Amino acid sequence: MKRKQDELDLDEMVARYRPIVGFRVKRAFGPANPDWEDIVNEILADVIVKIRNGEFEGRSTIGTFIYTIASRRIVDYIRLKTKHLRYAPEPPPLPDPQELAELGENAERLARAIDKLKPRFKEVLYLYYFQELSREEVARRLGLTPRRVSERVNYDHKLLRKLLQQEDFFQLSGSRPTKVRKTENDE
Amino acid sequence: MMSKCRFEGQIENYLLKRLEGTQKEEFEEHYFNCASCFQRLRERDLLIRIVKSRGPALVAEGDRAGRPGRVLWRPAPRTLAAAAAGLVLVLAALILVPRFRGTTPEFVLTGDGTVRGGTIAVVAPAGELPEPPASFEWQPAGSDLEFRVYLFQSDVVWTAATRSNSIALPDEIRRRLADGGEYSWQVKAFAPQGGLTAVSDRVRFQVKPAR
Repeated sequence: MKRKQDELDLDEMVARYRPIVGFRVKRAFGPANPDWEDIVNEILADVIVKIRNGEFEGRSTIGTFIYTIASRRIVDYIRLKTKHLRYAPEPPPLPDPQELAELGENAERLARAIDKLKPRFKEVLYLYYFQELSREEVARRLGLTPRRVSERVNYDHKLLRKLLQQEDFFQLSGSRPTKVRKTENDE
Repeated sequence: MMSKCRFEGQIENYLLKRLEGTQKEEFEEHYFNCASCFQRLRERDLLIRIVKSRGPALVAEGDRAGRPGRVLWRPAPRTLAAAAAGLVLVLAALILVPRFRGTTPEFVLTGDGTVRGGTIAVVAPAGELPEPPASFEWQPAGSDLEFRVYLFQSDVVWTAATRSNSIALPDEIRRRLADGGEYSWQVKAFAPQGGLTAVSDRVRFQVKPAR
């Protein structure tokens, strides 16, 4: 019975942490690396084995425990890959199917939402995220105060978050749509 | 409604690779423990990837950013056309536009175990070309490096190594690059010991003779 309970807890743990570990691994490897999914599975399998062996003693959170295992596995993988990369097979040619599939329909919906923003809000996104300027630099470029830049960026976030949550974008539960306050974009 | 977490302000810094060392590790450990920050992180990551994939097309020609204090919005009749053009540009950008500002490669281990990487800036070719390129060129990326160039279509079409920051494409390969064909290329830098030290983005080009 206890064993059954453990299985259920582990299932829940895997369901919760798979996307988080996946994000971390893809961030380290780059989205075009085809190995990321295998590494995620290896990490989660390793976590399960360690928990069953009693190696998780509760001295840290389970999140930190998994983070530590994931980080070590990522470093091991990259160390091995760096050693052999010269002779490794090339990744598939662009467009990378995984990345496009991931962007796919959701990205189009989000892109349409971005298109609906007024130009002054799109400008801020362009300078802030594409040109990677700081808020102060964006403010100087546009002749605004940094606070106004922050307001525009935050408005973009809230509006887009509302869209994502309404459409169950990432299938996350337990969060309600954020109310977007009326701002200068609604004028 | 989710409460604001003290790490939330780090999300963009992390995604834009502004966090280093301990700060980066602390934030990574945090999002393994904070559902709210992880959700925001995924949302923001997608937003940044879309903005980067669209690049300057995000702001139409007439309202390009950079002129202080000007109101750049032109309302009414152009709105619909701009939105439609924007949608087309999104699709085109996702498929065709070279990814000059794609993800930074992260392969090289430093002494403290942090994973870092370098980027090689490509010079040419890119975009539409009237004839197959005669050579590939990139910015110098350091001394005593060996560069390996890869030309792709559905698979690796050609690869060669050099110690210079350019390499000629052999005639026999040039002749094989068909009119209208879409290709991409990439260059990687290797240290004398064989370790990968830097990678360029995969850059697309298309051979499109003028009619």
